[in-house]
Amino acid sequence: MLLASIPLRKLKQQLAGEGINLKIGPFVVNLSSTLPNVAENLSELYGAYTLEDIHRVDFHIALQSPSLIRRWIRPQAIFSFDGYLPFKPLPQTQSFAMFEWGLNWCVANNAHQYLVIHSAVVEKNGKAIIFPGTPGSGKSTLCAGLVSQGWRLLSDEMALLSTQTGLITPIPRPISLKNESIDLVRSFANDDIFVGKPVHDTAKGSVAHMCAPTSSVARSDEPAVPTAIIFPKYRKGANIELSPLSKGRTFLELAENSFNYHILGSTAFGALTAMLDQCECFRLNYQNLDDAYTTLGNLIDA
Amino acid sequence: MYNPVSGETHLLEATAARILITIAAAPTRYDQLSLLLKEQLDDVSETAIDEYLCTTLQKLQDMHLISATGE
Repeated sequence: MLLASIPLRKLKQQLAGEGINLKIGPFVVNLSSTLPNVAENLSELYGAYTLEDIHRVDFHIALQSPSLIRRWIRPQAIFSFDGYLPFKPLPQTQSFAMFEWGLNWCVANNAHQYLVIHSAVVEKNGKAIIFPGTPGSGKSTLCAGLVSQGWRLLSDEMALLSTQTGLITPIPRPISLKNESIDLVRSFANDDIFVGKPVHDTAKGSVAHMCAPTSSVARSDEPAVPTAIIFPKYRKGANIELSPLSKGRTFLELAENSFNYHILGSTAFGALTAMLDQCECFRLNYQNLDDAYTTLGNLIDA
Repeated sequence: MYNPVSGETHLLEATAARILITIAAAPTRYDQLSLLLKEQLDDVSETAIDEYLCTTLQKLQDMHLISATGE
């Protein structure tokens, strides 16, 4: 059953009760909340996701008010994971963004069947490109742009590299857009691309989420073969430049960008070296998204 | 290369990696390593090879990948 098929009133009731079991990539997330707008945000951004009627749940997440008084005066939200509170409360207007950030934390700290690399991943013609990136590198904007051009979204935030198969497991979720990129992505939105209302004054500035395309969500169980690793960098005034990067340097940067390399140790080393054996590695400087589409399209088609 | 004892990962250039592999196979004296490099790098001066070898062995030691026996 798709989340979109549930009337909003019933969704609110379920969230306020036992919660909903939402299938997100390889995980089942039980989410409960009595906060306003959570149901609306879920309907807008997770409508294409399936609800699982099963008892296997990977993460139990609750979004609630920290206290009765914080429900009315300067309302706040807290994020709990299996009853544990890993973060300080945030203004209630940021509750949905908090869910997204908190779920990232849950996966990064618990899904050790994967090497979890901080990066966006998109795929075309069966070939996946991994875009590791530090905040401000423009990876989410580039990812949103490619997705709007028909590339499949595997993730905007983390590459799940299976240590068993060497494939990338999809976890398509809303793309987190910040500040200037919100209006930029809105300008090329189409029927399959929806950008939610921005939330202002977060730790990352203004944040809005773009829904994952329905077609990408429908292919959540279809892993992809990694074929290129590209470190993007948005630079104002820069000409498009795709320059090769050594595999040794790429390895170290990927290890630094991974959340659990230090936990997996030699398993992570083996998984990364195997992936690099089959991947080309580059740095990409870009300003114009159209140029980036052309360059990356040519790379995939080559 | 991955050091299973420390859990650390190191990026080594090719010649340093060859030196490490040689030492990993069996304890090796400095003069044996020097001779090996001089045979492989016949267009490089002996002084340059010895400087390189001293620096590289010190780096490998600092990374706790090798240890000197004092012999």
